[in-house]
Amino acid sequence: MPGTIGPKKTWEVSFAGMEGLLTSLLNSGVTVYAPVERKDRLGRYLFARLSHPARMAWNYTTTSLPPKKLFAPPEETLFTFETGKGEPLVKEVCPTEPFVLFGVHPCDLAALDRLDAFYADSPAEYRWQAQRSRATVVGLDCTPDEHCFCVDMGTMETRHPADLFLTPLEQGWLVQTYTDKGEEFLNNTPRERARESAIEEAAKRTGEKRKKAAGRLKGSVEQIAAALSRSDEEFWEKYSAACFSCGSCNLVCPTCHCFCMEDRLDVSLSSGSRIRKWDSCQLAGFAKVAGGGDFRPSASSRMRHRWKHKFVYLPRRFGTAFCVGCGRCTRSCPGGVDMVSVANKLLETFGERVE
Amino acid sequence: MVRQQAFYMPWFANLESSEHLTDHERLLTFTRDAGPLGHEPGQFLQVSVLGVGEAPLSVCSAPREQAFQVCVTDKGHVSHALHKLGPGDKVGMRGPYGQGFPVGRFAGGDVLLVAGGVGMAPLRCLLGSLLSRREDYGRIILVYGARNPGCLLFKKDLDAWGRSGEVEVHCIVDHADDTWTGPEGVVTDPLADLELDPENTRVAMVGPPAVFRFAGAALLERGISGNDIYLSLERRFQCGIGKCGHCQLNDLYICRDGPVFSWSFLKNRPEATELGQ
Repeated sequence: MPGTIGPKKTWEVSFAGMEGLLTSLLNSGVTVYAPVERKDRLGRYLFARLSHPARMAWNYTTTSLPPKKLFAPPEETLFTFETGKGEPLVKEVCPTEPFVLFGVHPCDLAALDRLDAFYADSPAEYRWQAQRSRATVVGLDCTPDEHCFCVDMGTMETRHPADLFLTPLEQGWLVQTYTDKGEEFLNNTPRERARESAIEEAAKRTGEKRKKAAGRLKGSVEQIAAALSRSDEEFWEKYSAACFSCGSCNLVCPTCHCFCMEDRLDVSLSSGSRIRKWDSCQLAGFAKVAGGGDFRPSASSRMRHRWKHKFVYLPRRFGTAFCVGCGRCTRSCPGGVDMVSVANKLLETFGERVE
Repeated sequence: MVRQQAFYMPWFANLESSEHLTDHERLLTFTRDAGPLGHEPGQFLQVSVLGVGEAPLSVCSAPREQAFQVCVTDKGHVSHALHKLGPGDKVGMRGPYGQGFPVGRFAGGDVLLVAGGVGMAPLRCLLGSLLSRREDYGRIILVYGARNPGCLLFKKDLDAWGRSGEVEVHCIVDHADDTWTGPEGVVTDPLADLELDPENTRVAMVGPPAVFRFAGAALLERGISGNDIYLSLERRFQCGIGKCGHCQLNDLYICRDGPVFSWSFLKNRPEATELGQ
């Protein structure tokens, strides 16, 4: 999982040039998903099919749902079936048409990178890989808000797996391409090789971001993992007291990937489909087994599991935390459980004293 | 892109027979056009009734037989639908999945099988595998505990194994009735009386978490190494390939990394056998 890799090429594109690119992209008929402001809740954003270049929210803070939804939707059909005499007829459903995912922030790129690794791990999940290969991913630099802790999670400068990445400058865009697909994407767009001054301006912007959002976590990811391993029942009971076990944190998390499967029967009772949909380890009953036993019956046991899964268990397999510091779980929690405060409390209570 | 295995697509098996085992369990026998299932003892199948859903069921027949069998307890939507099927019905299958018992490690020594309740089903598969190469093993001992005599699975097999002299069979029930001539108690009772060669015994255990905790502790006390005690764990697998997350046990995905693990491997993983409060 390369975190930061150098771009193939670095370009400057004017504001008008970028507008033109988006316009001609939409005119070409290709599907573009991009951050747009929610009509139901102004000031909130979501990745939606872009209908007009003017709807693109260039300065969005974060989206309600992460971009994983475009590769593993909240609900998707795995196959349809028809039963009758003889062997049932089953037909796999797997969309194939290409699309562009435009305007993905570094934390969400880091999350896609982690999910790519998770699904590629043996046995590799061909559905995720097929969906990912459909997309051209265009990254976009961001401005962290008060809930972001990407700097501390080391994801603020993530570029992989973007095909190209856009950073706003005073005058136009700095565009870095990372793949051939990213380079081709610019084929018909007027561009200049980036000047040294433009690259410096982008670097300065990154430095300011770092200054603004650094130091929110009072310890490293490794220290959080170590504190988690020492954490006790009492701690989780205390901090899960505010948890409603609603599962919002799972749904908005860009790296959560648990799902369940379900059959849907048509009114004919002879045909239907098998779907899979997002599931949540925070819901009561997630770890129930046949016969009624439940391996995580309390909110505290479920909350501890979620934390350990992200900071201890998955890092053991993939070498990196499955939290990217996007802050969505904190923003969406109706009980006010704050990821950063809980992490800092963990460090304070179970961290090793640094002399 | 290379097209990989279509994990979520079921293939279809022909239901040959559905046999009454107990008031709650039926034994379903399947064949498939592609020949034997090719499973290892301890592996499981994701069995589908289209329109109802899918359930994980361990294979309970010996490997390499032309037909394969699963034992189904009537407990949920899918198992209930499976109970209603009859010969000639086509049933969706995915798998076999999971890491089974390390049969190779059992050769050359004694094998003790400890079954609690429906845990007997996967152990019947293992026993079938052991008996197909009986000469490779020393003693084969089966300790099987059930709630009451009516709950005992595979009674015909139990009789046949005992009579053949190839397996030492010890059955025990929690609650005896008038028909029962055997002992009454829990599965750890016969374990306490058994003569064992702890250095030379491998154990395979399948049952509810309480059986693991008590029988496991008893066997460790008898001097059997945690590396030689194997457990098969149960969770409600949905995908069967380590993606859906339902079978997470601390850092493990039971369907992918198990369901069979050694006691030592699970030692520092409290979610293995502790049902929370």
